Amino acid sequence: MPSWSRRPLVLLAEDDPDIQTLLATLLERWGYEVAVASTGCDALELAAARMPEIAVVDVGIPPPDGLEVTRRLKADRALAHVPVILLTAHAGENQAAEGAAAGASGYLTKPFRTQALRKAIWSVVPTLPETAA
Amino acid sequence: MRLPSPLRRRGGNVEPRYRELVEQLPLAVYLSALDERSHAMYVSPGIVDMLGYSMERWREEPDLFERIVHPEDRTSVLAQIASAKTSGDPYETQYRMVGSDGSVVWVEDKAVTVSDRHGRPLHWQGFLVDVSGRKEAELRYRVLVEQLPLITYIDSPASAHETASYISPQVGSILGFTAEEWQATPGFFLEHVHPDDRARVARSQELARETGEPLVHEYRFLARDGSVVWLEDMLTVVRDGEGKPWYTQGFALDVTARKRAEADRERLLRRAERQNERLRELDRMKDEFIALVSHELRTPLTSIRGYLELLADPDGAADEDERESFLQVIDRNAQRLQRLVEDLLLAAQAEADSLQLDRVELDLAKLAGDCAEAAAPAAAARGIDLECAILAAPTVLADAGRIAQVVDNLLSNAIKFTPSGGTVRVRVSQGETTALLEVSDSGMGIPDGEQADLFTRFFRTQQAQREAIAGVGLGLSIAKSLVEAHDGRITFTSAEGAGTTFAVRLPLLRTGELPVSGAA
Repeated sequence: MPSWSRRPLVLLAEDDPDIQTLLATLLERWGYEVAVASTGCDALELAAARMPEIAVVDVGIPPPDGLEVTRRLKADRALAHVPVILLTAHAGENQAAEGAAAGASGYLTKPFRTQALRKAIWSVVPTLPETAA
Repeated sequence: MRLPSPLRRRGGNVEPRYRELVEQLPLAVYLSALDERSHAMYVSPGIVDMLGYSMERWREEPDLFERIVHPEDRTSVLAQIASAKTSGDPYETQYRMVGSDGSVVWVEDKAVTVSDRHGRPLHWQGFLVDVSGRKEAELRYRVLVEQLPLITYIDSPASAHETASYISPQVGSILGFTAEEWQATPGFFLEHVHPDDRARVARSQELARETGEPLVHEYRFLARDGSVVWLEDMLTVVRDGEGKPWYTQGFALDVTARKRAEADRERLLRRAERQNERLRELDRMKDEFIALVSHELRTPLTSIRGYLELLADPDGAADEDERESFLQVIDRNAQRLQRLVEDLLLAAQAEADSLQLDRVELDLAKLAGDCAEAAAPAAAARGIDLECAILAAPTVLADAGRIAQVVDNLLSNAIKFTPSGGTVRVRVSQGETTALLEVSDSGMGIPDGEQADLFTRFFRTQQAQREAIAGVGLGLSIAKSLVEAHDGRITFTSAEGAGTTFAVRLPLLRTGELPVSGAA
């Protein structure tokens, strides 16, 4: 298990303010540091500026949407390694396949159990047991 | 023509060998003088088999020929012979004769003026052939042709502009013209082709005449009564022995009924296609709608479940204030869900024309103020200045909840589509018979191309889709249904970049006094 000299940084891109607050609260409880964006544009800027360990991105954010954000991260040599977990309120197999094609590591359909998100993130970027609240 | 009676006296002039040959031919050869009433000089024995009269009778009765030409043909035949003798031109004709047994015999008669080597005319010489068989066959074909339910014709090989040499009498039953008038007028055919088809018909006929290829074409023809008859015309160019175009012949069928059936079928097909297109469009809208509704249901549910889990999390050290705020979020999202469900129900009721209204005397100004107050937090959160201008206090007979819903929808749209720093204004005023409620914003405005669809159910502007602005495209369609259910009218004016104003007009119940404080 890798160890972290600081709390791993999660880039959270979500436009619904309630869900944004919810996920930020949860991620902090789970021992992550959170950088929050409400649009695809902000998310890409934050990613370049903060170099997160992982990105949790809602597909339906204002442009560019979550799929496009994933594609752009994967196309950026400096950020291509950042795993992306997509969230969507649009159910359907097409979107899951599109997400995988864009390069996402995981895909969660809203509403989801918070533990499902925790597992999805932890399997990619674990937190140290002592930092996990 | 007068047939000469053979003269034994002059018979010696005929070379015996030729005479033997001539008398074996299956035809009758004759010689006569050139004067109009000349004696017959010779007639070969073939005449006996042909008409039944003995050689004696031919010898003894100089006027036998004239008498046995069919009475209907006699005048014209004699005139033709006289004319040919006078002009010296070759003569060729067909006519009927009556045999000794009373039978009618069709003969072909060909004759020339024979001259000596100095060019002086000597006598009239010709032969008669029995063509009854051919004539009967012709007649049979003609009867057949003229019984067919189609028009047959024979034309010049050169051009459709010339007079038809034959047109069958069915032009009468099919087109209302007589064969005589048709044949009397050069260019009759093309002149009566429908003007829209005329150039095409002339061109294809010209081409067929040039190439000799058979032509099958359809065109419209103007019948005598002015009606349009569709003809299917098959034209063949008949060539002579040397391969040169000789004449054209063909037939034309009345295919009007078929054409009409085809047109009907086309029309039905097109209608079915349009319906299919519409159904596909509805299907697409339905799919989009389901996706949108699913999205709009899942989003608040995510908050409700998530915050419930936060509250229930034994590790979550939530203090009392935090717990209170979580409960508020849950409540807000539950309300959002409820609103969506109500909107869906309302849309369904509006669609079924079964909107239930609980109408009471309603103070529109107070209602507008309440709605503005309720929208204030959302406006503040987006940095939007929300103003309320109450210029009158009209009373309307309306369902308070429904009208509040209209105003809420308009305000929520205005706030959603106005950028931070903008202004949203609610204004209440009145005319002589109507109360006027306006909601205007300083937003992006609605592009001209989208204005017509604005009140259509599930319609969402490009901007709404592009910027992922929440909504399912029901708010305005519901507002319109509700206002119209109140016998009111909802309109808007919008200029791109300059903002939009929605105006709701409701029938005035009575004019109220202006409240002391003019603005909320």
